[in-house]
Amino acid sequence: MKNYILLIIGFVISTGVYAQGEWIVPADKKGKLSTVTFSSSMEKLGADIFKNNCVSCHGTPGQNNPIPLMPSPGDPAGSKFSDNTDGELYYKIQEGRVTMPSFKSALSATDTWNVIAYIRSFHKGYKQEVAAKVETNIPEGATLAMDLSYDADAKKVFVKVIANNEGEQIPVAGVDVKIVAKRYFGQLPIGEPKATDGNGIANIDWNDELPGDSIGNVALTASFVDTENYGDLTVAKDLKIAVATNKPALNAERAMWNTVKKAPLWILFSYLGGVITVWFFIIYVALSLKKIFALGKDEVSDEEQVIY
Amino acid sequence: MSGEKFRLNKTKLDKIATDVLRPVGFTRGFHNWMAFLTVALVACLYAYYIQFDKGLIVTGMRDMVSWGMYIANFVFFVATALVGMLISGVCGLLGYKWIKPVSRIAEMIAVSFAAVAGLVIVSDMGRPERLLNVFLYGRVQSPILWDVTVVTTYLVISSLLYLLPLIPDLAIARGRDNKMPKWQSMVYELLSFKWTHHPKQYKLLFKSIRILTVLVIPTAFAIHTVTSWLMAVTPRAGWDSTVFGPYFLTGAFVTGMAALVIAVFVIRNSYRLREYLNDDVFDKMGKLLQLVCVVYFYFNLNEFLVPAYKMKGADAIHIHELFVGKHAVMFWFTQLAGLILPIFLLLWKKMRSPINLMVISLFVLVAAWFKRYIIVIPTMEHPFLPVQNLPHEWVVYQPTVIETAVTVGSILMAVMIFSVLAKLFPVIPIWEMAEEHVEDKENETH
Repeated sequence: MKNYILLIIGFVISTGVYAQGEWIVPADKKGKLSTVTFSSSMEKLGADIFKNNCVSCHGTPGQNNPIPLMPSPGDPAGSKFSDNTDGELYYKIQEGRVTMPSFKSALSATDTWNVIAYIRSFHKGYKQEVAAKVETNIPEGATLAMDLSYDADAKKVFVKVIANNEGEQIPVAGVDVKIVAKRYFGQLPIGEPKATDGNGIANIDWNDELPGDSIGNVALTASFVDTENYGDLTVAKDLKIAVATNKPALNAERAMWNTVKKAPLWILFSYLGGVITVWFFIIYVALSLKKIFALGKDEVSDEEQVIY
Repeated sequence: MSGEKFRLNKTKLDKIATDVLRPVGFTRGFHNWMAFLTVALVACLYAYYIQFDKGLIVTGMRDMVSWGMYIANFVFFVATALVGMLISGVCGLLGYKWIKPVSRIAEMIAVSFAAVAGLVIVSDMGRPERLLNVFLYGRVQSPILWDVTVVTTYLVISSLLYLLPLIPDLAIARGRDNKMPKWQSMVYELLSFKWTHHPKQYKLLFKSIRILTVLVIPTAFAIHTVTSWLMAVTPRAGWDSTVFGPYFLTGAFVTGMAALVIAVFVIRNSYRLREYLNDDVFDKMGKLLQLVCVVYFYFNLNEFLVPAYKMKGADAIHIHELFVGKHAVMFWFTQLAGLILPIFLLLWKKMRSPINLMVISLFVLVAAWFKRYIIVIPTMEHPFLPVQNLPHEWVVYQPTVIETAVTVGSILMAVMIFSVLAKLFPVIPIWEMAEEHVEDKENETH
């Protein structure tokens, strides 16, 4: 433990950032605000994330027990933290610096805001400012719906976004959407994200030579790019728009990764051959022992005596 | 052996039997020694009970370093056990006569270490009660199954190689010593297989031993090559090596020879068998130790210098950790004290005297244990996938007290098995020492 800390200190000094002072956040990131008001449920979620990701260095907020690094990670309840704007905290958590790791790939935007909500719960006199609503043609209180379809002639996948306002259907314009296709492991992004047009439709190029399942189906999922403002709405559909591929399943044939019943024959024979050969001789020796035992009843003539 | 007749010289046999059988029997000193080992073992078993109860969380192993001291210790045990093959198999088939007085001690080491090696693996299991599943659902594609198979087979062959040459000795002992406790003479009777020194019995015995000495070589090669493959079949830096099999095997010769020298030294002094385990035997053992050290050094050179010359991404991090990083002290200790210094020191005949050779072997053996640690742990600390935000204890492996106690327990167990064998049965093959080959002129004239 001690050595490890020394190692980090050595690393920090050698990279020359020890002398580096304040952590400057770009001006355009400073003013970033959460689109929702921090609630106690957000704080609770944030506390969980904090426990798993932050406690090891920052300690428990309010107890001033961060680990002794240089520069100190600081207690999130202290002024070192409360002096930051929400945007600054957001930037620092996402980007990281030196010993503070970047959480960009570990924590989603929502997770990050939950952590900030949790940290803010320790700051007395903090007043939250909520981001102004983004200008769109979505009426207040409308519910959003999304649909996926395919145009075979144009070879395009259409994503249609509709706002439902008390029975009235309004196409949502100017919102970025993206689609992904399901594959063996994870998802394959299809093309670049596109904005919806005046009809609420975004069209994304589709390559119909992509392999689908045995009947040419491909499972597509559409979602918003800016989930922070528009929410986690998705639509998933199986569309018969790809080339039917009838490859055997990865576990259909004999393979190294398969079960023992479907092991490659060469490995089966090598293993069993080796084991049987060796044990054949072991059993042969055991039978010789039996013979030795049986010979014990025989008389040894003087002529045959080994000891003389 | 045509034209040659196998004979035992009675006067010679009598003298050797008297000397070798004198220390046999559970003396007061032996009782005290075993009592001490038992008390220590009970403490270690309690540590294992805690681990069994709470799970592997009580060890230093975590998600990243999931192979720790136990696996390193396992490799060490397998390596030590291989001395049986080196002496009985390789040297035996080459016809070296000097191995006769130490061959049984080598087999005793092989049996006791191979027997405990299996248990060491069980100590690394979080759910040992599922051990049977390895046999029920094991996949022949997995080196784990190969390992279980060869360790078991090697234990059986080593036990037979220990038992077979013992049979005539037990018959000799039965015919002489009447002071033996009843249970001991029953064991002797059972294991002497009604031996009457019948020439046909000898013929069968020679044939069986011959088969086993040939069989033990590929089996021992398999056991340690497979142990190395447990690591080498992965693409990880430090393990992804084509010389890993021979690298492990030659390393095992070094470990085994060091263990043998120490065992022979202890027996020579406490049993007063200096006449048989004499300076000449030590001189030969010292030369053999040096030879295997040189061969092992050659593999080390390949194993470290080739990647160090290229310094490929992940390899570079690994090599750096070993040469100048966190593991540097341990690494250079194993290389210098356990390999390079012995190679030079053993050039002098004086250094191959019993006491000097024993001290050198102690260093070699301790270094050999740490070498296994160096092979297993540093690689695990550097996964290929980028990781961040991991708790410190996942990244840096630190064996816990419980883990260390369980490991010490395994060594105690091996020492106990060895001690019991060393006191229950003669440690030097009596009949083989009294063996004489006389020209069978009668046969030739016919």
